[in-house]
Amino acid sequence: MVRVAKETSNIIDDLTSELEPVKTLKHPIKRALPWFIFAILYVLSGIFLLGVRGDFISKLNDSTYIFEMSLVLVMSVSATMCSLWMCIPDMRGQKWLVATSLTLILVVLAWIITQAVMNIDHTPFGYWSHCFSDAVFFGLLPAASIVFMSMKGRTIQPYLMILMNVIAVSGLGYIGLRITCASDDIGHICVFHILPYIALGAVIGAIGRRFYRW
Amino acid sequence: MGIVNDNSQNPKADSWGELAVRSQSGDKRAYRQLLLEIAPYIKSRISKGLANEDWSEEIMQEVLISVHKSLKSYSADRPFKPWLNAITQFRRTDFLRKHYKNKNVNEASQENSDIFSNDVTHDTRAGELVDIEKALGKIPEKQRKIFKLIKIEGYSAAEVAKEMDMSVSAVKVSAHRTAGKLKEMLG
Repeated sequence: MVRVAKETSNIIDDLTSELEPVKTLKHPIKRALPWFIFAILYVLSGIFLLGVRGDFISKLNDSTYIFEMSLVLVMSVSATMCSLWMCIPDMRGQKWLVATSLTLILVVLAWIITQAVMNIDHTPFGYWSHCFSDAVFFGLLPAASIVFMSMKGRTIQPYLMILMNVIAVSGLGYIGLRITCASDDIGHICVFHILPYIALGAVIGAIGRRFYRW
Repeated sequence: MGIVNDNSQNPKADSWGELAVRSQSGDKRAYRQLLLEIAPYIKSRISKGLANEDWSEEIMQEVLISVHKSLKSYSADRPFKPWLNAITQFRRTDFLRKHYKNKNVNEASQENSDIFSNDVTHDTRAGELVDIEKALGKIPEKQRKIFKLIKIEGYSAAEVAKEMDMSVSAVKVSAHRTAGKLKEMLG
């Protein structure tokens, strides 16, 4: 016979009485795929609207450019998977996804910092670039949809979840910007391609715990 | 490659997984049995290293409510215990974080001499009721209203849920949390 305190017993009675059949969460990969396809199509439509950079074909032969884009894409895919797995309290035992995503984020950061140290010749403050608003455009709907999807789960790491959400979105947005914007200036990239996503992360980070409270 | 349920080595945990799956389909008897069986297990896991014995009961109740809320996230092809342990650890940490955060605020405020003139033990203060009212005043309006309707005015959770346009579960959770917060505020 199981013995529990009176108040706990009341809570169990209450919870039992209000139990209704629940629709279980689909496997994370089945949830991640539709979002990723939607986000890719959204970014592609953005690229179509804004126009591809003039030297895009020649940039396809630039190994540095291809390496950078591939690295960011892998980081974004990894963060998306991590976000969706984190919707389940025990992550279905796939905790290595967090380590993989964090490592990829660090590699991308190291790449950007190295590029900045080696190539920066001016800081592009004091003027406005349409890239800032383009970055917001690329990030808005994917960010809203991934937060909405993540809210359907039950994360036990809300801040890490916010980080993964932002990285998943900003990775795709960054790729969109690098395909539409002709500037390869690292100062411009840092300020107008990356800073908007840091701002987005700060905003979601400030209010995000409420999204994932349960 | 299929994912194997590694509960096979632990018959009890395996039966919890089965009970959880039956609960997901709305089997109330299975659900009640599951909650009754996991409650002592949760308590035994959280009580280790806690400064106050009473906290373990409180955290256990929070975990049971969390299990209820996250039942949809349990997957039949996965072992039950890691899922439950993750929720238990999360609630334990959350509870301690809130507790010590609140404790720091109180300690800091004791350096301010005003706190003594506002304390319930001071001559000008009428007593415990004033203190409870004061603590209630610090609770957000919606939660306060739910708490007052259920715990003071005696309405049922279903009636309050209808009045507030919320689910019965959300109302009960809110009232339970408010009670916990008040307990913490009043020491």
